[in-house]
Amino acid sequence: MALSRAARRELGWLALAAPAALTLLALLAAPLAQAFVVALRPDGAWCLDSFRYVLRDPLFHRALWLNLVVPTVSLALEAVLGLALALWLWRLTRGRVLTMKLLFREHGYLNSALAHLDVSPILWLRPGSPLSTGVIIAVDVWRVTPIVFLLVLVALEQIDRSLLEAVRLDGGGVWAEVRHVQIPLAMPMLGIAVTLRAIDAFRIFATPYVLMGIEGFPVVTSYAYHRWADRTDPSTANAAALLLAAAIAGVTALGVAIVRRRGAES
Amino acid sequence: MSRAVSWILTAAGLALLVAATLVPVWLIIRQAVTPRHLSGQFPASFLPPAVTLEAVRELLKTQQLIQPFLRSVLVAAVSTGLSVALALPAGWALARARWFGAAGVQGSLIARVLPPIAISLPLAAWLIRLGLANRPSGIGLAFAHTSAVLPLAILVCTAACRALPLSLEEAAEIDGAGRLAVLLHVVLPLTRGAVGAAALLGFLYSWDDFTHALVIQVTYPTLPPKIAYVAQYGQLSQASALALVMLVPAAAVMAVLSKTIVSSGALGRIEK
Repeated sequence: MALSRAARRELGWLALAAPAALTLLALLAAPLAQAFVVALRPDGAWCLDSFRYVLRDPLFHRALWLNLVVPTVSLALEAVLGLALALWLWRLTRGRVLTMKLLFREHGYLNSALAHLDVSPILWLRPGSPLSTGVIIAVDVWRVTPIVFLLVLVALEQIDRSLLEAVRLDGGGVWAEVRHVQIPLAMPMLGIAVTLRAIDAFRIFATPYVLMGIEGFPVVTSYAYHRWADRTDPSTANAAALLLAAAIAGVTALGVAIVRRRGAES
Repeated sequence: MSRAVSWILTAAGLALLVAATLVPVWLIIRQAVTPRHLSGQFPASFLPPAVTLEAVRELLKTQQLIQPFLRSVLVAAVSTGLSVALALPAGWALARARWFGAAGVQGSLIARVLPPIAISLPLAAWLIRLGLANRPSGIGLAFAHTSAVLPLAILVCTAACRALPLSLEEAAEIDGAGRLAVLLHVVLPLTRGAVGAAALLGFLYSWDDFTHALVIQVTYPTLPPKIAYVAQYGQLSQASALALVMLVPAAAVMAVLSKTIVSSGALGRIEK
């Protein structure tokens, strides 16, 4: 059967995309399917025992609770701080491009320094202290606020200047510009930034693992790692990892829906 | 608000930002150069009580520095190179294809959502069976990183290719150039910036990754798990020295990347 010209072109594109698609199938889709098999067949028979075990395990309950508290609080703080920093610096620096360059480089350093930072200064804090949750959140916020800040700053840069001038012509001051133009127009980008960050925030692992250990400050990823490495129980480990994946997918879907709806309203 | 007050607020804010950035780095440096017998001092001074390079020397002597460093470099280079080489043709195809372009982009976005632990646990089981896990070269870890870097690189390359004018490709095709020739001689030169940005982002991901590395490289670690291990069981000064070593390439990459971001506003587009 002769293919149409359009179909042949499409097949050509498919051939170009195929190596990447096959690689992702082998490295992402297949392991994910394998995770389901391992979690659902702990002893060679299909059952939900692993999920049941994980959902009843007190360590998992602690991990889940901390895995909810840390991302939620730190995301809220990051959004507020990132927005405030961006609004503030946008207003106060005249030579914006130069300042941005300097600041971004510092933020770049800050950003990449984070992982190493986990190691020395904060290790002095006692694991198990009531402040530990606050410490983990503070580290997360310190690490991530620059990213949110950067995205919001980009959004502020893209706002049409004539809107700001219109507010000024109407006799509005700085506060009116911020409240009626900049914050509403920066909101979609803040929504995107928060959604992106939520994806990463719920994967939290290295910070609590390095600072306080798995038992000291469990989160879901460290719980899964613990079942896998310390208890050699791949079944419950994969079950916990899949529960985390489902939770992140849900949060992402929620974030995307909110951003879309806001976008449609404005 | 008067001019002077706003000026003071700006200065204070900038000072705060600089401090938040530099003080932690300084603390790492301080810890790394403090002699071991003084490192437990309390209260610790802001300046090191004495300066020594013994932490670095011990790391070198016990072969704990060079190998993890080279392994980190190799894993980042292999996973980034592989990802970019696969992502550019795929990104171009997704930008131009009518039937599966949108689905491919959505698939790459979904891949970005998966937590690393859900991939690395089952992947590790296979890598162990294939004899690719925990190799001194870190080849198995490079594959794991590819699973995360490739979707991101595809998204960046697709966005860059969508911005290319069709007319150039059509002109090349009329001149008789095949798809691969157009890819190499038209698309690649025009998307060099985006390919570079994708490579830098990929390098940073691999350089920073902790989860995959912890699961797959059990006894031949890359720098992040090595630092965690030394911090937990060894000398804090040695962990700080390792952290400093890890900081240097990442800082260089971020400096280059931030320049690209500032000059093109690219990050907003990439992250979208």
